[in-house]
Amino acid sequence: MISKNLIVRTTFYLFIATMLIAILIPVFFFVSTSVYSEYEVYDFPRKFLPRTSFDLEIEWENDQYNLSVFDEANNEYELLIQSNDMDRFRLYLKRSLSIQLNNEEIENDFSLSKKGEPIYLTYKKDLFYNYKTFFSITNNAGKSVVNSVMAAGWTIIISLFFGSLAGYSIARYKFAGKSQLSLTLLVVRMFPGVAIAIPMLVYLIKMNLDNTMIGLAIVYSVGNIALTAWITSSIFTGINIELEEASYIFGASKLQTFRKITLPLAFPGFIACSMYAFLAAWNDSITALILSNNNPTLSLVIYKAIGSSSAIQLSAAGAVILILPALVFTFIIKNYINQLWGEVKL
Amino acid sequence: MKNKYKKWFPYFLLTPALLYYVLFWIRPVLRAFFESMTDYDGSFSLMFFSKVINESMFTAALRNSLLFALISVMLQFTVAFMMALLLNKKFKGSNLLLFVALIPMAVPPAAVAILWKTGFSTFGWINNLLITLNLIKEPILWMTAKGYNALLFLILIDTWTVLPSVMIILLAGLQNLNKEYEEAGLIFGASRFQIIKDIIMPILKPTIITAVILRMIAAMQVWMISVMMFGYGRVPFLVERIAYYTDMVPMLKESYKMSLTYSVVVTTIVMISVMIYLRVNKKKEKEVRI
Amino acid sequence: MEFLELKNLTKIYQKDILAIDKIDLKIKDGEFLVLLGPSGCGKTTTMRMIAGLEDVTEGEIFIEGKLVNNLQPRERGVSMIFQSYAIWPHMTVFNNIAYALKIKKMSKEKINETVKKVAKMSNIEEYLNRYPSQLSGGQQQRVAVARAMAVDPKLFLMDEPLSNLDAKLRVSMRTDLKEMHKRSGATTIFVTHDQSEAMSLADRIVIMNTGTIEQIGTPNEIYHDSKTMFVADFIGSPSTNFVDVKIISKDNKLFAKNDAFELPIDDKFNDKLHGYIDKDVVFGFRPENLVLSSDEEKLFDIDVVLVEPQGSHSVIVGRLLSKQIKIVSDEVRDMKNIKTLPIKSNGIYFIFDKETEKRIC
Repeated sequence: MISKNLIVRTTFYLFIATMLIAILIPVFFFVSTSVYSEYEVYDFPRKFLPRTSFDLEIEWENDQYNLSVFDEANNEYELLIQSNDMDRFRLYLKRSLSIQLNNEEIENDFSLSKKGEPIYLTYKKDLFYNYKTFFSITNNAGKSVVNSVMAAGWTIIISLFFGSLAGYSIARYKFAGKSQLSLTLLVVRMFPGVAIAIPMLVYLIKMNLDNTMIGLAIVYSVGNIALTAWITSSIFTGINIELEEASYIFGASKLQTFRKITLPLAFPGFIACSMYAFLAAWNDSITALILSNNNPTLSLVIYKAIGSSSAIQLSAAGAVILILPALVFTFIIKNYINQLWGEVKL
Repeated sequence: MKNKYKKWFPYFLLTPALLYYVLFWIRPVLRAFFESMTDYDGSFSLMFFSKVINESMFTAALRNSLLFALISVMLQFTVAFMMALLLNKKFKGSNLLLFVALIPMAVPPAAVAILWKTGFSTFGWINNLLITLNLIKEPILWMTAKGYNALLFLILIDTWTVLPSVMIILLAGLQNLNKEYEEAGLIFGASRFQIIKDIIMPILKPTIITAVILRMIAAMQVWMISVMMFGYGRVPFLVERIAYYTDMVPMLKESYKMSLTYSVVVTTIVMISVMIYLRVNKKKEKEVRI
Repeated sequence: MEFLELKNLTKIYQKDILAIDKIDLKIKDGEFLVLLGPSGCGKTTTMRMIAGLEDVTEGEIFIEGKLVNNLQPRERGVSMIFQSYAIWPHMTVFNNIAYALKIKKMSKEKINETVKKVAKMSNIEEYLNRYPSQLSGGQQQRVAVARAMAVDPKLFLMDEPLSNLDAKLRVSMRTDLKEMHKRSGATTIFVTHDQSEAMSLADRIVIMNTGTIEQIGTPNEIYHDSKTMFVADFIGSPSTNFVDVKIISKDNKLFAKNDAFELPIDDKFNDKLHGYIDKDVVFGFRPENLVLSSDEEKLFDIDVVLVEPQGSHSVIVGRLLSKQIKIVSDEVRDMKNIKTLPIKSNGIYFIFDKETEKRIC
């Protein structure tokens, strides 16, 4: 019996460990990549933790400085460049090692080696170098963040408004065709989202909504209204109808009751529910590519950055920014899983 | 008068959503059907269907999409169900574990691609890890994977990303399950495995069907990770073809119609698959009842 | 030998919530034992530990002399009726009953025979092919009973099985359960918070409060010989009237005295009350032990607040020294023209220690 229990326990912890490793290790290395300097990306094999500083060796030889960096894996100094042009050193330190110094500082430090002995320096790496660079070299990166927020905001508003009205109706009333209604969600999803965007472009141009965030939100909401209706109906079903009836008894109208009683009770669920709308808008890049290429969202910018695949550490920095808000929503939603999907059934 | 108003009230609440769907879903879908079944001049023609079917990539795309859906749904359901069973237990740190389990859901497809690209590139962290742990001597060239290997690759990456969204639905179902059903199973002699098979799964069936169908629909429309990891054309999928025509060669005269024809084909295939799945489930149910 | 024995049984939740505090209990073979107490007293936890659904923090559980602490529920030979019945909704009544038998790899004929037998005993023969959702609450209850009987258990556990039924059905199911117990003779543990259910069903009642056992005894012992103020208060409806008094001694005779009355105490209690002279104690009068009296014989007057007619008798709610007193009377029907009533004791009362709340005599 004891041994059986032991097996169960071991399996239990093994499963948890596997899960944690499978999820956290990729995320860890991914975040690490976003703070790698270019040198580290090609440093192989390398240490697990990203470097926070570099140990450099400077040698004065033949009227030139030899700049070497300590290679942790091979335990020796590796020669990087020879030059006596301070601009070249400054740019190299910045671009390859993410070290931000000006010419005077470099010259001051380096010149000590002219005495004949090689000197050893430790420079701090700028951990946010990739993040700053991503925004400075990518066109419209700042604007694209604003765009993403706008698109997500509109999607939440549209989905919640149309979806929750329908969801309330499904939860509270009996009417013909109700049971077929839940199938809408499936049918709507059967037509590929990309394919909706193609003809929609024509309509949006007619409405002057191409390359706008409202236009994008209109398309994002298509999949989300049905989902919102589905989920909110589950939330409303969970709210005891007697609470509403009590409100009617005390003389409130339907609208007042909805505003003062039902909505506040459903509010936490709504927040979690809007996460799906948020994620749909925030994560999409292809619909944005079709409908708003000239006014891109962050996700589209990153999608394009990967396509050009110039520097993976820069794309990683952009992608980390892309993940952060979604992570916050995920943290919120974990407390509402029950309300969100509890009553959902086909 | 009052009565009539009451009768129409639910429809009144539904109208905005329905109107929205007529305008922004039915209209583009009908447009897609129309375009797919007409020639450039607007006359009826099935030319584009035959063009799609005869395209060199079509067979591979169809095969990949179906295989991908079949394998990934089975794999994802199994693992997600195990995760849900685990997370349904309350233990120290279970709330934190739930959050960790949900993290991949927060990672957008574009970021997923970068996440795994940094891993699978020749000097990426996966090779680095394997070499440090002395499991391999030389870096493995992951990104050169082809055919079924590449497909399997994509299935694993997709699984990493979507497990939480499947798990979340199943977990909600489990949490709403009366605990006494399970306990009655324990009392009346069922093993852990029998309880899952004979009691939990059948009672949870509506939830399971919901989760599986939602996953199936999404899996048959997979394309982005393939493009992000391998670029267009290496591991073709049906929706990848749509994206190819709109993203890569939007200037071609036929692109617009080809992509819409593809979307009609995809929708039809998805619909048939869902119907088959539902039919098989209904049949099973009948057998059980007898 | 005892059929079931709990030794020093303790349950602690989340490291610091003490649910069960060192319980000792012995149950005889074939006994119908009721665990009774208010919600949160630990009665259900105790039963779930016996069933094996809950881990034991400390102490031992023996079934027929065998330590079962580490055995799975299915290895303990127990059967259970759940509060929600836990009839599996996806199985027909037949399959619900047969499931446990199928797991035991019983032959098809034997399963059929057993299911038919228990279905007949529980009066659900005609529902065997129905699904639980097509049954009423009472019928579902019978299915739960039949399912529990089918496995022919050594020990029946019932977790408030009647609490979801309406009042009338509850009473008739009560009779059925008792009958079933007589027929099968299996040892039964029944958890409830309903005292009348407990009184009518039990061979012995275990009264629990905040994780400990207050008293174990037959229904009559529990009622007429309550050992603590908690038991005296919890058992009986209306419950016992508690009155604060002081024990005084006059000419070798003991009296209970307060501002309203002075009651001479029977000499047989003198020994036990020896240490309490000039100290405060609590007197407990069951409602039927305070009776109407003539003005000459009265012990005290109560101010009548209201009268609750019950048909055969009335409950009179009154006040004595600003505390509520309830008495039962079949003479007073309503409170017309009644302001005060003269009351006397019929000589039966409990005396409790004010500190420990334990019975002195």
